[in-house]
Parts: sequence; C-alpha cells; structure tokens
Amino acid sequence: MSTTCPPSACSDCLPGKSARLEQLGLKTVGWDYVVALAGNPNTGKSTVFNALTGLRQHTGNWPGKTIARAEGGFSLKEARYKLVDLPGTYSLLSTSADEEVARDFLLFGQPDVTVIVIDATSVERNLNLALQVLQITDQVVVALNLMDEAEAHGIAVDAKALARKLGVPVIPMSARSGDGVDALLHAIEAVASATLTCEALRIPLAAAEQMELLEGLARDLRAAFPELKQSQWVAWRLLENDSRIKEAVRSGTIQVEAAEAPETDIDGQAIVEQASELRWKLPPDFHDTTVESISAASAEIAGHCVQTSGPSTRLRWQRALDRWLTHPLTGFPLMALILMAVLWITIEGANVPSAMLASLFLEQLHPALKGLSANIGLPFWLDGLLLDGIFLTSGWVISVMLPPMAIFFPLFTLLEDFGYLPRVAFNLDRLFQKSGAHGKQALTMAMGYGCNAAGVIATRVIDSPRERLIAILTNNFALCNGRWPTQILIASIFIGALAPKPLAGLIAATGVFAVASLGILLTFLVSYGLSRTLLKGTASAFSLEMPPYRPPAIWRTLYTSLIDRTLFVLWRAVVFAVPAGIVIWSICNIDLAGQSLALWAILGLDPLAAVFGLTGVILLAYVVAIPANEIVIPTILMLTVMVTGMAVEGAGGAGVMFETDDVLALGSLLQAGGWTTLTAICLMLFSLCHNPCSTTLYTIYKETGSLRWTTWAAVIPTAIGLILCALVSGIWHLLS
Amino acid sequence: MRTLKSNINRAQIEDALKHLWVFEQGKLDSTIQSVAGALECPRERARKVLAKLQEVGLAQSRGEAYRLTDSGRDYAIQILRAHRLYETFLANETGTTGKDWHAEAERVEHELSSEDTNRLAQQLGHPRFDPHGDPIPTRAGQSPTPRGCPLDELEIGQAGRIVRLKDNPDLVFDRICKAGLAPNLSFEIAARHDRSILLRIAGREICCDAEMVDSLTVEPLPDNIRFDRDAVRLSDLNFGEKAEILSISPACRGTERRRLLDLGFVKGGIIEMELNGIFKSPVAYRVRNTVVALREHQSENIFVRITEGSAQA
Repeated sequence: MSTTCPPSACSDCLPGKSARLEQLGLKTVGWDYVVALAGNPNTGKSTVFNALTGLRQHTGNWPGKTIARAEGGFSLKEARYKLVDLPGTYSLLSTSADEEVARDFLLFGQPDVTVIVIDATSVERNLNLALQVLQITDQVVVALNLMDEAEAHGIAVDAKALARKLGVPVIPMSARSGDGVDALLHAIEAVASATLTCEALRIPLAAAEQMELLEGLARDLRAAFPELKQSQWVAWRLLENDSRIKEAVRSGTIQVEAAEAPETDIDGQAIVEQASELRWKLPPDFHDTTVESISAASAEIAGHCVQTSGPSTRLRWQRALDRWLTHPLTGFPLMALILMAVLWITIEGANVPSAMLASLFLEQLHPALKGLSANIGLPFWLDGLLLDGIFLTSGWVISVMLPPMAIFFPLFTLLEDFGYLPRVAFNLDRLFQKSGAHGKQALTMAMGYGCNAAGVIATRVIDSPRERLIAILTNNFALCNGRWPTQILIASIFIGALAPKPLAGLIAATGVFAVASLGILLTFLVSYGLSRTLLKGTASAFSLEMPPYRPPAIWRTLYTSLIDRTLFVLWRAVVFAVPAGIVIWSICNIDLAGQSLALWAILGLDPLAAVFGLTGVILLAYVVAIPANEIVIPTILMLTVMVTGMAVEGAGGAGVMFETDDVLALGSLLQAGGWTTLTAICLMLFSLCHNPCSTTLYTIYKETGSLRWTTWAAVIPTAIGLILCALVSGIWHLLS
Repeated sequence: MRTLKSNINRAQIEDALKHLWVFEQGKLDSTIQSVAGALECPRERARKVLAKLQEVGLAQSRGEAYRLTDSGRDYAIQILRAHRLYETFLANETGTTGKDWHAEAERVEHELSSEDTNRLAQQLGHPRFDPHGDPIPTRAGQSPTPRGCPLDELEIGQAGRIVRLKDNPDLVFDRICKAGLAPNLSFEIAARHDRSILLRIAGREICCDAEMVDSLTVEPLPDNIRFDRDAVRLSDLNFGEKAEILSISPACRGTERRRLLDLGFVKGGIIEMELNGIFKSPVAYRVRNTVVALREHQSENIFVRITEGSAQA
C-alpha cells in the first residue's frame, strides 16, 4: 500500500508549511541540489520525506514498510531540491541489496546533502549508521526525529553536544507533528549552498592491530587520488573486496573531479592488487571487529549526549501491555478479540450508510436518470448499457463497498500505527517456523487483509527467497478488501438470520471471523505443505524488531487511510465495474436460440456447481468478475434477478442490477434463486479460496518473474476451495 | 550407440581433475586405480576419462602416474572455487543443513559457468574460507598455506580454536554441525576418555567421539585472545537477568550474522530478556534500548556473560 497519490490532492493539511517551502511532490525536473535521506528502518524516515515533499508514502509502525526507493522534490529560496529516500538500513557494511543501493548512492550519486534520520529513543543504535555515513560524506545534516516520543520515555538528548561530537548540524524534530521541519530546511539549505561547511567525525574503522595495514592502503589511495575524501572507507571496502569499489579504483572513477595527474607511480590497478593480497593477512573476524569498533564509538558518543531518567511511566505501561498481548494465556485470545471487534464494528456500522447509499443510487438517481434518458430518446441499447449496466454496477459497488471499507481500513491503520502488527508476528512466529515459513509472513499476511497485491509486494521484507515465495503463494488466504464485503454481506443475510435479531450482528461477525481464521489456518497448512514438497528446506534466519507503541495520530490516520486506501480501492473497483457492467448487460440481452447467453451458461454450469454446493450463477459471476473480486456480489445479484425473473420495482428488464435497501428483501430474492444456508457457506468458502484477482496475479508474476509460480498461486487456492466446498456440501447432504 | 557410450560427461572430467589436484597437493601419484576409486566407476571408464584429459591437454602421464598440466591445474582450481563458494552460499544464505552442503555443491559445481562463479563470489562478499574452513581460491588462484594440528595434540585445560572440519563421512559431519562446531570457534579441553574428547564451549560441554576428533583440525588459541570461561548462551538467560554480549558463534554465518551485528548484538552490549513469548521461542530481548525477537536456535549462538542475577541468584 505504498502507493503515492497525486501531490495536488493534499498539500495544505501537512505540517512543515514553511512560508518559503513549496512542496513539489513528484515534479522533479531541473533541480539544483540532490538531497539523500538515510536512516534505520522505522525511524520516521517516510514521515520526514512526506513532510518535506508533500507526498504521502505509506507510514506505519513496523520496520521495512517503505519498499521502493522514493523520490520527490521541494523548493526553497528559489532553489529546487530533489529528495531521494534511500531504503532504511541498519548499516552500510554488509552485502544486502538495500545496503548496496544506499551505499552506492552516497558514494557515486554524490548527493549535495545527506540527511540522516536518527530515532531519538534509540540514539546509540542509530549512531551506528550515522558514523558509517560520515565516513563517506561531510555534507550531512542529522535529523534527530521522534523527540516527542523520547521525551515521553524520559530520554533527554543533548543535540548540541551530539553536533559537536559528530561535526555536523543536528536538528531535533518531531516530523509527525511538524516540529523542527523549518530548522531542518534551514540546515539543508546552509549545507547545500556551502554557507556551512562541516568536518565530519571519522572514527577508525579497524582494531588497533589492523589499523596500520588499513592506513597504509588509505595512504596509497590518497597518493594516487589526491581529491579522494573517503580514503579510509574506500580502503576498508577494498579489504572487504567490494566489486563496485574495486572497479572504480581500477578505472580511476573513484575520484570525482579529476585533478592533475598525480606524480606517483601508484595507480588504481596496483592498489587493488595490493588489497587483494593483504586480504589473506586479515584475521577471520576482521569484519566483526570493525562492526565492534563502530558500536563502541556509538556507545561512547551516546553515553555523552543521552540521559535516561530511569524507566518512565510510558515504558512501564508499554511493558505491561506487551506482557498481556504476548502472554501464553492471553496473547491469542486478545488477538482474536481484537479481530472480532474490528469485524463487528464494521458490520454493525456499515449497515445504515450502506442502505442509505443504495437508496440514493438505486432508488432515486437511477429512476431519475432513466426518466431523463426516456425524455431525450436514448436508443434502448445505449440506455441499457449506460444506465442499467455501467451506472447500476458502479452504484452497487459504491454502496456495498464504501461503508465497510471506510470503517475497516481506518481501524486497521490505527492498529498498524499503534505498533500491534509486530506483536502479532511475534505471537505467530513459532507456528510459522513449524510450517517452514518466516515469522514476518504475519506482517505480509496483515497487509494482505488490505489488498493481496500490496501483501505480495510487502513480502520483500522477507530476506530468504524460499520463505518469500511461500509468503507470496499463501498471501491469497488473507481476505482482501474485495472479499470482506462479500463475506460481510452474505454473513449478514444468511448467517446472521440464524440468530435472533439483537444477536444477528454478532453472529454474522462470528461467521466472518471463522472464515478469516480458516484463512489463517490454511496459510499455515499450505506453507507447511509447500515447504515439504515444492519448496523444500528448513526455516532460515529470523529477527523481528518490536518497535515501541506509538499513540496513533487519529485524525491524520483517518484522513490518510480514507484517501490512500479506501478511495484508492474504491476507484479501482469502479474502474473494473464499468467493463463488467457492459459484459453483464450484454450476455443477458444477446439471445441465442431464444435464450440469453447468460441463461445458457447458468443452466450449463448448474449441475457442476451443485457438486460444490454453489449455483451456476455464482460460477458464472466468478468468470465475469475475474478482473476484480469486488464485483462478484453485484454480478451474482444481477444474474439472480434475471434467472428468477422476479418482478422487482425499478428493475426494468433482464440484466438490470437488483436494488434493495433491506438485507432481508435481498435474502428472499436469493432464496427464490435457489439459495440455501449451504449455498451461503460454500460461497463464503469459495470467496476465501479461489484464484487471486488479475492485479494480484500480475504482481506475483512481476515479483517472482516466473509463470510457473504465478500458475501455482492460482491453482493452489482454487483447488483447495473446490475441495472444501465439495466436502462441505457432501457432508451437508449426508446429514440432512 | 558407440558415441553415446564413449561420451564422457563434464562431471566426470571435472571430478577427475579435482582428484588429480587433491593428490598433487598431498604429494601423491594419481593412477587409473585411484581415479576409478574417486569417480566410483570401473577402471576401464577411468582409463577413458584420463585419455580424454590427455587428449585435451589437461593432464599428462609419466609411467603409471598422471599429472596435471598448468591449464589442468587452473581448471581444477576453478572447479574447487565453484564448489567451495557454493557450499558457502548454502551455509550463509539458505537454511540447508550441514550434511547436505557437500552433496549439493558436488552437483552444482559442474553447472556453474565461470561468470556464475564470479557473480556468486560477489554476492557473498568474496569470502576467504568455506564453511569447513578451507580457503576459497581467488579468481587468480591465490590461497594461503594450511595451518593447524589434530585435536588430540592439545592438552586438558588448554584453549584452542577450530581451523578446519572434514566434511566426510556425512554422518560424522552431521554430528559436528549438530554440535554447533564451526571454524574459528574457541573451546577449552575439559576432559579426555579413550579417544573421545570433551570440549567446553560457552556453558556447554560437547563430547567429540573418536570419529569427530579425526575430522577436526585445530590450533592453540593465540596468546592475545582470552578464552571466556564464564560464557553462557543467550538462550540460557532467565527473565530478570542482565548479561553482557561476548560474541556471536562462528556457526552463525552470512546474512544471519550480519543482521544480528546490525541489530546491535555486538561485543560489550548489555542485554536482557523482555518478553518470554507464547511458545518460549521466539523470545524478545532488549539490547541497546530496542527490542528484538530471536528464535531459539539464534539465541543459542549468541555468547554472553551474566552480569546481574535474578532474584534467586
């Protein structure tokens, strides 16, 4: 869900509206300065990015959510700045893809200013990365973010002392509330325009015994490339055998501004060869000792600049909460309770607005438009396509989907911002491990509850390819926004109706909860099956950072989840509903041998569908609705109207979407179409287990680059769905 | 049919080259007999393979003995490089268990082109040693001289460090891996009984049977490195205790090791248990004021010294 929306949509509601700051969003042509944004994961980098550019990258309280490298721009005092958000990394010393991107951009991309975002609540660990960045560039501004949180935790950071130690400006700020954004801009401008020159701290990169060796190599580098500023870092990278650096040293491109040819016989080639010989003399723990010396320096600096006044009330409160949420006895019940509550609030809350919207679109606007079209004498097919096909489908999509999403997404985003998701991952990890999968699959599964395509992209937080593939192939078992409304609607009509009226909402929510839980169970079972068959192997490394809880910014969450998630998804649904509306209306109105195409298909599919406890209408609807899950229910309703031939007020003819403001009336319509409780249960099961929508399939193809795995991703859930439905329907018939 | 029968495949050619190289290193003469043994094929087959090697100029015969030519030696080193790099890849970046490394690498080494091998080396950060402690030759063929002595040369109470592990027989190597032994791991000899040796490693006593002892090459711990007798595993830590991190076991490699270092599991750090977890694995630890959850097999590989006891201590 890291989709960025057009910048124009929202620039005056965000903080950092300095008098001179113009947020340029994505319009980054002809910039004067390039600013890189580096920092550990989950330090509020995206929030700083958003505050400066006016863009809205997805933010949330779990590490790794910023997926692609983001770029944006802003302009200040006539100068235009391009802002590049580098992937969040803990270090620059390793070989992971993220770190390579960040490292290469800092060294070869030559940003004019690098902003290092530091989490004020854990300065010591964040300094690790900062000290490494300072090895590469002097033009640095440190953004000491999350100052408000540090204060709540009783942590005081002396920014001035830190600045003196590091030799670069340090700006205390709280990007979420906008505090300090102006000061950050000032500092960026000062460093970019060279009115402020910094002399960054360069700590020794090796233990004392190896320092001589390292310094010798660095000396040679300086002799060969007098303009090279980061000789120690380059020497260190040579000893780590970094291919990019070796190539740059060999070709001489390591030095940006070629000075006069140095008067020495040491050239790049010789240095590289020397370095590769020296490598055999290094102790086996060379890499580790470097990490240790950087850590020791971080600890020393943090010791000087950070003061903690014992465990704060906030910390005690968080620890207590954590105990409850991860306790052997209460952890899982609380998890279930929270999910139940979200579903129940969604079902109870969505009823009334859904009915109002349906009545507005279908009972008032539709007849009015029909009347208008009759007055101006629109030909029957155009009137049918536009009003009965497109308008009614869209109207249905909006009234069925908008209210539940507008409740579900903000609730979910609040939980995400609060920091609950990593706790879920923590609780479920053992089960994922037993299934041969990665604990972070819980995070991608949670993203899948919003949208499976987003969930599939989010699997990038899983390092190992095997476990990532498992997470991709099973993501579809997380009910997505296109399927929640189906579940909620069918549960409200059929499952809720099994209980007395006051309990109906609760029973319906239980039904949906049961299906969602089955999805989680299937995730484990299929992961287990995959890791024993197609994707053999044992579970590999796992580490999960559990960030402190953050009080969610409620209004901002409501606003952004409404814009970024709800409206984005709704728009997508409407876009897909338009062609589907055309197809539906057409197959219902084109006759073949005295019977419409739709009826031929439905009657043909009926016997097959009966095996699975479904109806021909449902199967046909799934074929028509392949592009998007969202339109399955509207399609089913419309086709049912046609088959039952039930006279419904306002339904002008075949292929007109049925309209109603009362779920019970809908129920009697479906019963007339041959639906029973069994049909409802099987539909709910099939909606959980069938092929992913076209967008998700395309995303899976893009992420795996394999047609084979994309096919498996469609075949596995569909096969499971059909088997489940056949089983349930078989048992049902046996018992009744 | 004749061509099919006499068709000598790449794998056999390359395995024969490796055999010649290994014998050359051990100052032994390779013969048809020894090649047949190494390739597990009839002598007639071995003779054909050697004839092929001679034909393409990779080996030459001197009487009964066969020697590598310069180009044959280069080729052999490239295969060895592919093999050891691939083993490193399996150990560092995948969850493959130790006993499968060798067999898997035996298969894949014949499928890797030299570009593939170079790419692999780059991806792994140009490691110098494979997971058994054997040096990986560079593209140019450089590698250091081997060092170390057998484990039973060390005395009781003496501290040492593992240099190399033999990867065959499979079953023995499997035991070695399960015991958490790896190159560069420090130990102290606790006791001997017959040919078995009891090693003390970070709060655990690990028994090496005679076969395991034969598989280990070790060296006495250099004077400037101190053996931490009071080390225990992070997984031994109880709720309420605080500990100082001493090191990450060399058995924890590659991505996993780097990630742990990045997260702050670095020598000198103070660590305590934060959350016990529902199933006791993963467990969340507070280190450098951040909370990180680890699975049990990971906390088993982090060596610590308990500094502050719990109520009962």
